[in-house]
Amino acid sequence: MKNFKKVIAALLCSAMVFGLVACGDNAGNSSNTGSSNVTDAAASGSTETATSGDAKNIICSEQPENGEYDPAGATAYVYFDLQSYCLEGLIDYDEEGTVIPAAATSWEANEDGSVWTFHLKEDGYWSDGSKVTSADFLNTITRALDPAKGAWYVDALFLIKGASDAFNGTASIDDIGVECPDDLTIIFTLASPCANFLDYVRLPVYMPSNVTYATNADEGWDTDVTKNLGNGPYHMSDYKSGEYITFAPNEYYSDRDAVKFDTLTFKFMDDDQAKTSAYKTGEIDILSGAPYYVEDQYADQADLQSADVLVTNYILFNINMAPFDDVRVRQAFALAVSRQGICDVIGSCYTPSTTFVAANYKSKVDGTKWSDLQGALLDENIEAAKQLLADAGYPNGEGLPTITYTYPSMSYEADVAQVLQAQWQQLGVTVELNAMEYEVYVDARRAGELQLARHQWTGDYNDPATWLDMYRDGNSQNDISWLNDEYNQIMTESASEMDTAARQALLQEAEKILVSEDTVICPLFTTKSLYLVNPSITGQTNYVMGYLDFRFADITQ
Amino acid sequence: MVKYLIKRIGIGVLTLFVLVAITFAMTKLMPGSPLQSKNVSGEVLEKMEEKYGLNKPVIEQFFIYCKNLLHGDFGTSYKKVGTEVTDIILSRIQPTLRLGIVTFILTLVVGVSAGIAMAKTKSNFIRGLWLSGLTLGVSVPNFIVALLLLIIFGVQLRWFPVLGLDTPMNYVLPAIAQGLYPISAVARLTQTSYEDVMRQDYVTMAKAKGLSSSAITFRHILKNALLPVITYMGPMVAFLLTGSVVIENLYTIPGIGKEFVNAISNHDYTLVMGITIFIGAIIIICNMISDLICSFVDPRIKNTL
Repeated sequence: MKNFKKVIAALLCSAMVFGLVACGDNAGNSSNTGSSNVTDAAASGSTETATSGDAKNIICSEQPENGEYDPAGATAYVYFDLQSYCLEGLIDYDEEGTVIPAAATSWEANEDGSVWTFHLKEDGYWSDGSKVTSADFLNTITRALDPAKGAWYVDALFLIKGASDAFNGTASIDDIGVECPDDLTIIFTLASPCANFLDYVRLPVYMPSNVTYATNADEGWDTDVTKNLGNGPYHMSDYKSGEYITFAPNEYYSDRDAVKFDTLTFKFMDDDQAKTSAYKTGEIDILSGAPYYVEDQYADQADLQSADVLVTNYILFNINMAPFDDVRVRQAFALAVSRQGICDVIGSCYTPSTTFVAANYKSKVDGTKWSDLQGALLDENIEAAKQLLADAGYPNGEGLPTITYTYPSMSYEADVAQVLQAQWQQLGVTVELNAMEYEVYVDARRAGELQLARHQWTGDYNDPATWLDMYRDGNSQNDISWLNDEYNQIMTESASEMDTAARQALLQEAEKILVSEDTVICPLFTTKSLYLVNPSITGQTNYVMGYLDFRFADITQ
Repeated sequence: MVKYLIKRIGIGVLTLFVLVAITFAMTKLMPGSPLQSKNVSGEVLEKMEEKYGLNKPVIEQFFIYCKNLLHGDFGTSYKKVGTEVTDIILSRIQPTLRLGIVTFILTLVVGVSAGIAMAKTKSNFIRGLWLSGLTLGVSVPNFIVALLLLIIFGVQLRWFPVLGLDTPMNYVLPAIAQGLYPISAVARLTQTSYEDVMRQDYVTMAKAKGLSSSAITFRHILKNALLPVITYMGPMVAFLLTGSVVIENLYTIPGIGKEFVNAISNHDYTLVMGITIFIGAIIIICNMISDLICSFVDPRIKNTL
């Protein structure tokens, strides 16, 4: 009872705090009227654009805001809008996926791909007119290696010699393998060879951040339009938390004339009905991530556009749990699947796939789609599946332990699970379905607790290794701790193979082990993402990473 | 009066504390880590949990949270890294507040006048019509109303914009959608209590004295008839200020209700806690104020508490 007075005192204190918070509302509310006018201008501007032809203010829908706008931070999807439009990395891709110069005009590697030197362009400028230097690139790297920063893509930096030690505090940040001999040269020394390092430098942690403004000490710099500068075609010109982010042209960009829009605003929208309605009323010009039913509504109309996404949805067998410790059972389950049967149920945007590397990935050798290159890695043969199951000692599924398929409770996953359940029933196997909330599912899957799990992987960078590296020994994404010496050997070999064609052959071989021989995963389908685009917008390109790129698009009458 | 006030505030603060404790416990019981959704590696995850103090015992985390709360510090968001929860709440409450005030005024004006009109009408046909309208208004869920208004007046007829709250025209559809239920409820309440009061002796007395009709309506009837409406206003204001997820999502209003649901599905513990406490405080304060107004209007009330 002695503490009772203290408790009461504490409660009263908290009441006062809420009083203060309540007072704050009014202050915040009145200061807000000014900025809402900006929105007015932006919002009404766009609908008139198509008719008046004056200012070219384009409005695009975006998912609800999440994460930071700092390449060395929690880079959720909204960050990637900033990266695509405002930041210019060392290299870029053209529409065919060929590497082209961007912030770096040239680069060279040593013979095994363990030392990479980049030469920056002379006329690279930030949106405040200052020059882009090698220090800006180093800035993001050193900031991301600060453990307190919580950079999401920091793993990608561990390729660099000494970076992992610096992150864990066992070595100095000054000793990492990144050197800037002058303002326009940056040299990476890697911990081990990486033949496709060029693909990695498109990841957020390799993007530049202005050395003057972007510091870890200043936590709010990334949403401050005077500090979050762009070195790409656009820069952040307006931002309202939870509402929108606006980009305006970088006046100092080397190809300024190719940038046509006066502003490009991304509005954070959640509801599908809200998005499609706003598109119909002309309040937004571009609807990204459109719901699948617009494919029917807008069939044969110029509004409907799509981009192939580098993603594979697949089943992960837990090789450490019976009965999936037996490769014959894994193959039986894989062969019993009818992918078209799944796609028929979940919608026309989905395409069957038997490759783990995204079916739409384009070969760097000749641009062939990966699915054509590999052919069918898994048959669909129910008789063979039954035979395999019988060989494994479970004729017609008799004697099998309870099997549970776990999936995250989101969008189409429940439909996929039910189709799979029905298809496996043909084997005589009754599979139980278990839906989990997404974050819980991720936890359980990563802990290796799921017997049979849905999995999906979107490529982080444009190379088969973004998928195939996951199941290398020791990779943190190898949730089932699969260990195959031959696979690891081939993957190590491919990392230092600088010949593109020879490297691709190795990766194709590795994928066959993973999918056809050992069948630790069973690929199901890939997808495309749908857009509704105001038909007067032209010049957008299908970017190789799976989205429409409006950087150099224009709007006509 | 002062004693009553202190008692009410004390109960309010106690309720709030219980709310903080329960919400804290519930966020800890929620399976899944807020930091897990991005596929970071084990060592990175460890460093991040350390940064947010998630590696400490739960009891210790609770005391740290309460201590910070007393300094007005709701912590920083897990998902909008580096952003103060207080800042997020303050920016999200504005659109909700603006729409809430519009809806509140709409509700009072339309609800009360409709209620009086209903009480005064003598035609049974009109009364029946009114009544069925009100029943419909109370029973149709607001997401259906919101969707119908959006499709008919936004997309088909193009009379009103459907995105955000940028212009006055933007308020029309969401305010009607949000207001339909409280309008119907207020109208019904006003009608019944107005009819009750109309039959009171002092109204007959006032009529007998030959007072004008408006003087009777406003001075004698309305003051007493509005008592149940005032009682209802507390929860109603709280309802409007805490935002409707459905309406905020459908009309893309970056309000507190939408943020709340996003925070929960993102496992953004600190933000969930912050908004819960904030909404809790609003509800408690609104109820308190409506009780106080009632006790002011009807002095008998405070004796019964």
